[in-house]
Amino acid sequence: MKLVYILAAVALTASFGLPFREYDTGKLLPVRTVQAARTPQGVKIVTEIGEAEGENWQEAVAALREGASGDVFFDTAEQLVVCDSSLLPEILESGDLRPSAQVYEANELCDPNGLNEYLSAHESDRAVADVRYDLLREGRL
Amino acid sequence: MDGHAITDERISAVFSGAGDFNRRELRVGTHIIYVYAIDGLTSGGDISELVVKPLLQDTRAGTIDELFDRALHSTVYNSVAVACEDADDAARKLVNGFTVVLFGENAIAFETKTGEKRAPAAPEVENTVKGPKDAFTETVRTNTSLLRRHLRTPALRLYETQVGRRSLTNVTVAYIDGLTDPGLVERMKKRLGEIDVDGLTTPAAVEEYVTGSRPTAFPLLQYTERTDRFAQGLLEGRVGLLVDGLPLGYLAPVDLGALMTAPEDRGTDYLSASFLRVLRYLALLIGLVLPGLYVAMAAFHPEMLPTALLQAIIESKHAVPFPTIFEILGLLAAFELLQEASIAMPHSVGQSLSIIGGLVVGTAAVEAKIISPAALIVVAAAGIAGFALPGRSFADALRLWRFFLTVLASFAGLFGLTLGALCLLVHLSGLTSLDVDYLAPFSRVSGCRAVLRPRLFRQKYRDPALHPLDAKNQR
Repeated sequence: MKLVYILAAVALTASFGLPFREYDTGKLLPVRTVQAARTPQGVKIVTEIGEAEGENWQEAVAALREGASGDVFFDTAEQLVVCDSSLLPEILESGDLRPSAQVYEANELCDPNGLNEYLSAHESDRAVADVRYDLLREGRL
Repeated sequence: MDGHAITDERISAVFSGAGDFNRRELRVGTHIIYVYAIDGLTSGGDISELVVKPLLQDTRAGTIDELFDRALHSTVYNSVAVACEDADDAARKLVNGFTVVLFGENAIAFETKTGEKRAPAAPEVENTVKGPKDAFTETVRTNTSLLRRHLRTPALRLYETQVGRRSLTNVTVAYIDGLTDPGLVERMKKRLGEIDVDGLTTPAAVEEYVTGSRPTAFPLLQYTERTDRFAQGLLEGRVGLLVDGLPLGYLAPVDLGALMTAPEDRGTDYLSASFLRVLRYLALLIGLVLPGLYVAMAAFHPEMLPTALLQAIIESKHAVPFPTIFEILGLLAAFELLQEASIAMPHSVGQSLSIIGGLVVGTAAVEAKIISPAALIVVAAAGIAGFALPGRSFADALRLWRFFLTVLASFAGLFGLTLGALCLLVHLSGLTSLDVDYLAPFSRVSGCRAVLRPRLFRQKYRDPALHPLDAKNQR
């Protein structure tokens, strides 16, 4: 019995080394819909939280986080709208979005207000996981 | 101390300085006899009418030994008359409500217990709608008589012994001969025999000494104030323990399934009872893990929450200065304090305290943005779920583990919570009560029976974990 408790204590101590991230829930800014488009400057992303631009997806996300009043939380994103499908490999490679997020393609960026509700009513036939699978098969990821 | 000759000096010396000790010298013919009794434990009227009067009316000549023999076998009306073996035996009889009469070097103890004792009343904690209202009292003899009224079988055995060097507490082991595993009875008797302490006057003393003070918060004896539940326990093949001075009875062995059953389960139909039992197990889970789960989800894994729920939590947390972990731990501590305070207060004040503490302070704290409504709801839900459990000792143990799991969740999220839950499972698996496994009902294929209440006519066999001599309880 004592051995079990010792092992539990060791496991708990070891867990401090695991990559857990603790959030301050009150400061989270959950994102529901992400739009991404190519611009002359690189990549522009638009969310309910705000919009930002950068040379690539990572920099655009970093710029969005920097300008936000709290902790921008992409793990709650339910929809990804891309205006250029060539953006998909770098977005998926970042791992910012969860596999179940629906993927849509659009011609241009839209007003984010009410977009989530609209897209929720018009479910896409492709999720991030499906796109990742396709890209892996094509060797683009 | 054993074996002292019975003399007036010896008995008087044992009770010297005792204000309630009465000693009277009587002349019967040419002989002098002494009558001893303890005021308050004995009935003065009974002593006068049933003991002293017949003794003084015995005018026949003879030696003191003949007087003793006549008192023991003929002259005295009292129904219970026992010759004392020595001075210590006489002293023990006196503190148990007997009147001792000394004839030279021999003494007889006549039972003249006072009728002043609390009458059986309705149970205060284990409330019942349809069940009997005769809860145990502080007097062990009253309790055994109540038990006899529920179990008229002559096979009901009541083994009596005294525990406690100074308290000399009367303890009764109750079991049904021909049904209860003799091994269980022997184990209980052995444990009682091994107790060598000053006093056995508190429930904790009984529970710790009888169970061997295992390092656990979980109860290894089941207590009940309800006589019907106690009688049912004996019919299941358990051993009962009644302690003089405690208004409750103990049942052993106990397992998790027994602790999760309420006596009212047998007072209602099997469908309702099963539904309530499932609810109770849900309450067990909610009460145990909900605060920890909330901490883990909100602070470590918010992505696992539906976005709408997360949004609601975020909005409720807005402007609250404390991290979720401190919020929950603080609220849990406040809840425990409130509970302790309301127990310590008189009943009427306790209710006011609950209203002020729970409603006024709680609402004010939420409005002042000191705590979030979501955290308050989580802790309150866990607290209410804890109150839904039928056994208070078991619920108290879960309160302790709830804290532990929440602390683990605050260190390592779901990983910590799972680790804690595994520790709890291992801990429970290692517990035994009178050598019966604590998780025994769930280790069998028919484990679901411990959760659901089967129809009574299908419940033909007693719990095999108790090894009853008579396995079948109906045709």
